Amino acid sequence: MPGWVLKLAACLLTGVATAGSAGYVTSHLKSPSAPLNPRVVASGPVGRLTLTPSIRSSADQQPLTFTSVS
Amino acid sequence: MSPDSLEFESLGTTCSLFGAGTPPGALAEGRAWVEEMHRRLTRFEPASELSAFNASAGDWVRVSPALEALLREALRAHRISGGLVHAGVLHAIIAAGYGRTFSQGPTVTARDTVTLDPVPLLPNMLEVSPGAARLRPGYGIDLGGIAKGWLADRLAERLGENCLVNLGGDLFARGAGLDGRGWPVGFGGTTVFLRNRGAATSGTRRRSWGDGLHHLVDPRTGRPAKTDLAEVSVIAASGADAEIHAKTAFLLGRRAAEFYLEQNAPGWYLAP
Repeated sequence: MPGWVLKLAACLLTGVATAGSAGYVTSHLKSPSAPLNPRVVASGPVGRLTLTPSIRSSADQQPLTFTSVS
Repeated sequence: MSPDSLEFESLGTTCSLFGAGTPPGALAEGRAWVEEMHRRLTRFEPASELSAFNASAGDWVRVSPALEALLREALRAHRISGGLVHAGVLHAIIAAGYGRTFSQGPTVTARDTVTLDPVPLLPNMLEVSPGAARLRPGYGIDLGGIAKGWLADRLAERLGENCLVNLGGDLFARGAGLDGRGWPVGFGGTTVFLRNRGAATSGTRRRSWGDGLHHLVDPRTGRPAKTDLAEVSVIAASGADAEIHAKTAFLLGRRAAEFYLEQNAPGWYLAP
């Protein structure tokens, strides 16, 4: 096979790959306004705290320690 | 005025002890006691008393006062939770991938290859008599769901009249605290002053390791619980009761938990 055929084939292949990549990127632009995935359905505490009168509370006092999941 | 305090790692979590007017060395002795209980009661050490008990299923085994008391506590927790707080789910937890300490990472999950049935009622698999206990063959005990609150209660008895014991978030506050109002504890986004009361939180925001995989097994299915709650915190007369009520409410799910907490203990929950 003549050398110029190989060179022509390589040039054609490179051209097709470049054009294909450009087309793919153009048609799959990243949208900055796309929704987050996974979607945030709620944030922050949504529970209800019902304290009996015998338990005092204060939103201002710093706690010494916390009850928490261990 | 600030209290004496000591923080250390044990029971697979962070423990904090606070005391007001506690004798010198009392908190250090408390730490040593917690570490001794951990060595005795952990399921992750083959040489622990609990592991030996699980390995001897089918036979009556002599048990220490501490293990006997906790096995009785497990039966009490099962009874007052309507069977939801169940210490006999060891094999189900291991099948879900919690076969070694959480810091070592999950083990192979067998949930798709092992048929997991509802776990039998605890009194049908565990018998306790003075100084001895027997476990039904094919089952194992994991005290991770009830021990910390119970231990916090017992340690508070040892530390004195005015102390706060927090074992990984399950705690008991004894006495009036530093200024007579009770011990200030962070709870559900506020600070509550606890005096001779326990508090505990149950949930899956920690100790979870995959899609629907976590450490809280629902004995009705033998699988990690499916619930629409992320965590529940409860205040009760003792750390043990708080831990039981928090787990029960968590396993019940949001709608029933609201009713349950109204009936049993002040609580707070977080939905994902």
